[in-house]
Amino acid sequence: MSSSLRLVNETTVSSTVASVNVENVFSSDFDIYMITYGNATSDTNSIDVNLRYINSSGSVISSSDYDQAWLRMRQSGFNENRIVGQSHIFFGQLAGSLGGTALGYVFSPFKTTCYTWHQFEGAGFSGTEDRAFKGVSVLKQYYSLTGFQLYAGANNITTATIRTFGMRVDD
Amino acid sequence: MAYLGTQPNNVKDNIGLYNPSEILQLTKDGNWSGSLEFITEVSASSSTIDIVDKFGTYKTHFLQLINCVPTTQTEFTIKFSNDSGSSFETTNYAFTNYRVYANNSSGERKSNSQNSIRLGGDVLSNSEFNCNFYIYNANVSSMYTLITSECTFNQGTIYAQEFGGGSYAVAEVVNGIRIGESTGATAFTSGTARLFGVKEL
Repeated sequence: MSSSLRLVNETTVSSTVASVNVENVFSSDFDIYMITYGNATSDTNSIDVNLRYINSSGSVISSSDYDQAWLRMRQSGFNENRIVGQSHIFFGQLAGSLGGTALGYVFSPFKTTCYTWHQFEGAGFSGTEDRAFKGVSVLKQYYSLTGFQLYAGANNITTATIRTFGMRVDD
Repeated sequence: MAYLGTQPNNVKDNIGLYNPSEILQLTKDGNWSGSLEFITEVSASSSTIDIVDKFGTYKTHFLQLINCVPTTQTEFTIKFSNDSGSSFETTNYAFTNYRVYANNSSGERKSNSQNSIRLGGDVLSNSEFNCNFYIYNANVSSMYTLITSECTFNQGTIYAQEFGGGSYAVAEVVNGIRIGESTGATAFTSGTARLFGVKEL
């Protein structure tokens, strides 16, 4: 059982959905997780992919307790986004059938003694304009989290492969 | 499953025992062995690094560049091939990066007309360039190939980092990558590239 990165879950989206829940992936087994989505498409061009956590009761946390700072890098200009008290985490964009992608790390989601932190990077398109993203975020709650939800707001995800990995820690 | 060990610490410590049938089942489930799977390592010696027909069936790849030294002050770049390395494409690339120097300067690095994707620079010929980047959807014929990157290097005595992303905006299968210096992705003095595949079921 080599390597420090362990595949915990692979969830495939093969029909049109506004959101997809990935549950029972965070546990006491690991402290740090990597989440990535690929092969992802949307029903309209340039939709935001957002992330919300799921607590141990199975409830999606949609309260305004997420803070995030991220840099959007576009051909038409770079801009900083610093948002306090939002109900989700921005986690990349999809450009219709051409897709998009992102990869993020989640720190200490299962622990009830600290906030849950997240950092991410992504790349994609809006129309014909390429763009990249990089940022950090936090959920300012002491919940024990066991999963997460990706959702597309008023739009839809049509395909995606969402993978969750645990990072092995040797004491 | 009759895992012999105490949860959860034995999982973290990677100790405990499984029998052969359990190993077979874990392999089918994708949970046996690590999930970042080493594919190949290639070094440059006054050359580019070309990796072709190694992407396999992975949808996501991870590539490390280690101690890459250019021939002159320049940037490191990549190009993709769609014909197993017979040629490397020179159009349809774009990138948007942000570069930060330790002496308090920073700035945007972007283009949608360069004939390669910039990773980072400028690196001096007496310095080394290190970089991690992911390649997404290279094997998906209906999608563009995308990357996200993080680079660290010295420009002379000034530390710098550069991060961002890029694209090859043609919906086709990509089966090769060239790593080189300058906008043309040409030969550089030395360095090593390691390619990994991110496991999928």
